Amino acid sequence: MLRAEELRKVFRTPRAGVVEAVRGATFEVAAGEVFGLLGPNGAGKTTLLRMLATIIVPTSGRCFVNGIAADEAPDQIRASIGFLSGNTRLYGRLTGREVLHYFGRLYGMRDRDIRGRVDEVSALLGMDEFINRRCDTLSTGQTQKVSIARVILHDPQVLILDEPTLGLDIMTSTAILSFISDARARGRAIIFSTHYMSEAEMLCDRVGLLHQGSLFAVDSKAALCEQSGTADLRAAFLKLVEERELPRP
Amino acid sequence: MRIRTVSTILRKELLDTFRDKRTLFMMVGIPVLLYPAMILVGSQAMMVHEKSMESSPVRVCLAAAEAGDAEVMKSWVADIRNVQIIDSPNPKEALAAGKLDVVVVARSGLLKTFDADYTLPVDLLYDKTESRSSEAVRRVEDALGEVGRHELARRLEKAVMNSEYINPLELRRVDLAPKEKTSGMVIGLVLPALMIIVMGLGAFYPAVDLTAGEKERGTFETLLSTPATKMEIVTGKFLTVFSMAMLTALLNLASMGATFFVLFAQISSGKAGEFTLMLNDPWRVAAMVLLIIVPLALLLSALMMSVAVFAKSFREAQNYLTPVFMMIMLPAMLAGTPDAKFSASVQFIPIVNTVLLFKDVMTGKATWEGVFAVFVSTAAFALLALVFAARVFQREDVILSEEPGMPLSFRRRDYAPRTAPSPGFALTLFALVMLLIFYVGAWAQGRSPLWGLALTEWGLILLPVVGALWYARVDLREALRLRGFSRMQGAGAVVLALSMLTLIMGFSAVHDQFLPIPDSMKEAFVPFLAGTNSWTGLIGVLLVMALSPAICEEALFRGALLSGLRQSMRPLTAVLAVSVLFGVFHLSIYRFAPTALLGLAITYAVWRTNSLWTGVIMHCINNSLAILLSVGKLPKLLADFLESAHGGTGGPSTAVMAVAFAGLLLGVGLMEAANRAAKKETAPPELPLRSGI
Ligand SMILES: Nc1ncnc2c1ncn2[C@@H]1O[C@H](COP(=O)(O)OP(=O)(O)OP(=O)(O)O)[C@@H](O)[C@H]1O
Ligand SMILES: [Mg+2]
Repeated sequence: MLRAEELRKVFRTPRAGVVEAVRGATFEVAAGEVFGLLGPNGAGKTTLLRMLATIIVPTSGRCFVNGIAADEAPDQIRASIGFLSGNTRLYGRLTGREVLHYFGRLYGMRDRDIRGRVDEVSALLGMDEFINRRCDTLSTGQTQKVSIARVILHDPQVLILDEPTLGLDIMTSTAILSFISDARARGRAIIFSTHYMSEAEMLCDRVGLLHQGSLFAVDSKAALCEQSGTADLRAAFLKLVEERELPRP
Repeated sequence: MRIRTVSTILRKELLDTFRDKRTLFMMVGIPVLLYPAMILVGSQAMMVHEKSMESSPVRVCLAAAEAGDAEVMKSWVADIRNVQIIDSPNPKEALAAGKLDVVVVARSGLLKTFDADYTLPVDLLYDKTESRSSEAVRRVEDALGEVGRHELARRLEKAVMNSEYINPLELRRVDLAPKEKTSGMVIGLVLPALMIIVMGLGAFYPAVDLTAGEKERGTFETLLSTPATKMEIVTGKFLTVFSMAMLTALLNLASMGATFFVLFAQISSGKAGEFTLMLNDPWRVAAMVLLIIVPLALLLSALMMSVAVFAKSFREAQNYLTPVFMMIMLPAMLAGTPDAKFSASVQFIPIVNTVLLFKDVMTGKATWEGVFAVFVSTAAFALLALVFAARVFQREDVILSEEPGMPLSFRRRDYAPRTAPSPGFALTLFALVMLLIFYVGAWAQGRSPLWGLALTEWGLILLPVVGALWYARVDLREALRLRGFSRMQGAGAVVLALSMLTLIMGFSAVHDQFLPIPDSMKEAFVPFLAGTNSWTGLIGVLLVMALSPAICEEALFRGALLSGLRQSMRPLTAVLAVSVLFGVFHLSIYRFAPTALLGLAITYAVWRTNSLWTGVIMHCINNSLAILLSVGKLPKLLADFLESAHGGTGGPSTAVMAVAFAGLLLGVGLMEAANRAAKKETAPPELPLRSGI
């Protein structure tokens, strides 16, 4: 469903100079699979997900959705993706419903379909009480729910979620996690990044470990634990990252 | 491009904009309130002022030596309304203390003077700084004037002459300009510049809000994650900005119109029709105005948007747009002067053509051909600006930029040391220097041309530039490119300077035909060159007018601005931008093109050699030769060569132009060769910044 081949991204800035944020990432996410992306701050998770969502263009390498190359038909690909990150915020001066309507139209849905779908999603995520309020009056959790609603409104085949539970309380994050596992059950391909090991452990079919731009391990949770000789994902992550930070003998 | 997507974006952005109270106030509140308030406050203040003048008593002291004289004088001023005649032992002191308004001093024996047909000197002492005293003296003068006329009539009668004897000629001016033209003239002078400011403001807020504002609020990426293409997004946003600019413009016109109407009705009580008669063919005027403001709104919107998108925050965008605003206002103000006229040669210069045509429309002189030419050319420029904006939107480093812009604090220790100023900083610096020159420099040069110019160069250009860069902890050596250069580069610079001067002389000959320099401008240089007859004077002039600009202006343009703009622009774009700013810097539409051309050569050289000194040399050569030529101190051979480049009446000589052109190529060749040689020696010099070498 989603395939990345040797994705590389180099940023050039006057201040920081040349930063190689992602150094050749190759992996695949199948339909009905949840892929977790783990890595310390600045590892390049957001950059990698942005490339998959065609927000930024890779310096080299390609990615495909349903066999369509992103560099050939980025607009078409974006139509089948739902992308959420810390930088995809909502228009504060519009109400939740207006925001959803707006994005529905941008995704090419018909007005009639949008209305039905908004009600449906609103019921699903429990946002009926605040959907008619302006977004700048909503709490973090309510805002995140509207964002999730925006991502799934057009029922995309691929969900790219960058830290979807950041800063949320247990109830809301549980709701979002259960929504992710529902989406998996309906055959969606999901890739999400997180700093919470428990979430990854609970949800992910496979995990990719990113460190300083290199995707150095892609495997199931059990295989990673075995490789590092640890009991859980948390310990495995710490060990594997530490190993890479130590100078090799 | 899908129409539905564009219209979706347009509708959403309009809704969003209308919910922003700040934008709404700027665009709707201001025009609707401003003009009535301005006029009301203005006319009320005037009325209050006049009322108090009329009703306040005129306190006069009659200083006469003889009691009889005082009686006569009393009868002279008795008819002044509200007059108070006050005796004072020391009238001058009383006047200074504000106890008197006017002291009338007449020579003693005034009736005798009159009887003998002599002239009677009368002094009216008053205090010019007191409006009350000025008003009083005016009224006393009126009354005494009447006395004088009376006396004259008596004398003529006595001499048995009729009063026509002393009035051999009666002059009367008859103004044949139709009323519509006079009122149109006044309105035509103010309105266009005002229109551009107002429309600029109308475009400004949405342009910033929809680009930098959206970045600042972190919603841009949400939009980019949808199937909407960048082109659709730019178009939708652009149409929003354009609609708001149009809306503001129309609201302003309507509000202005309504206010003027009320005002005219008040002034010429009942003759309110006078205002509408300006529009004796209202539909024609309306159609023309619309045809003019539509492309203007397109141009301003595209311009503002393509600049604002570079900023990461509202604040930063304001910093970027200030110089842009100045660049728009300058031609608007120039064209607003009464003598500037619409003609074939200016009809393709954006902004200028609009302002001039607007004036013609208001005075009923505009032709459809002119309107069409302005429409087409402005629309073409608007399209260019829009294409530029669309290209900027394609750049992810601009759209997703996460670099902080200006630091929020202005304390020196909060600035991070860096090797070049940020583009916003450099442009703000430019604007600051322009303002300093405009206010302080012009004043200083008015007092003393040469010293004023020296002060301008060193105190208003170099000092602020070096000071600001130092304050922002920019490495001066790096930012100002204080580096040496090779012999080959030096030679290249000299050759470039000489050939460019020749080319510009030729170019000016052509330029003069389109945009003849007014004599007053040519003469503006005369006071500067006053002392050039002596050798010491000449050296002084050269120091101030050639060496000083070479050092100070280079530090600003090829130093701070070039380094700053290079941060966010490709080399060639930055070189072009600096050259244009260099042209703008000379604050004259006549000198814009020649100086921008000169700027292009110098900027290119400094960029290529990475040494400010090559620029200093070129600038100095150019100015020195131009000065020496104009005071006739150049060796004959060189002078003849340059003169023939300008070519007098016959136009520039082709041979000379060819030589100059060859020189230009040689100069560029030398620079490029020197660069290649330098590159071989020191392998990879520095990391290229975003440039595709
Ligand atoms: N637009 C950009 N311009 C320049 N450098 C960038 C840009 N975006 C990211 N980087 C740099 O790339 C590197 C990776 O950043 P990224 O945001 O992908 O990390 P991350 O894994 O998402 O971190 P976090 O866990 O903190 O969210 C960092 O060094 C960052 O500074
Ligand atoms: Mg991140």
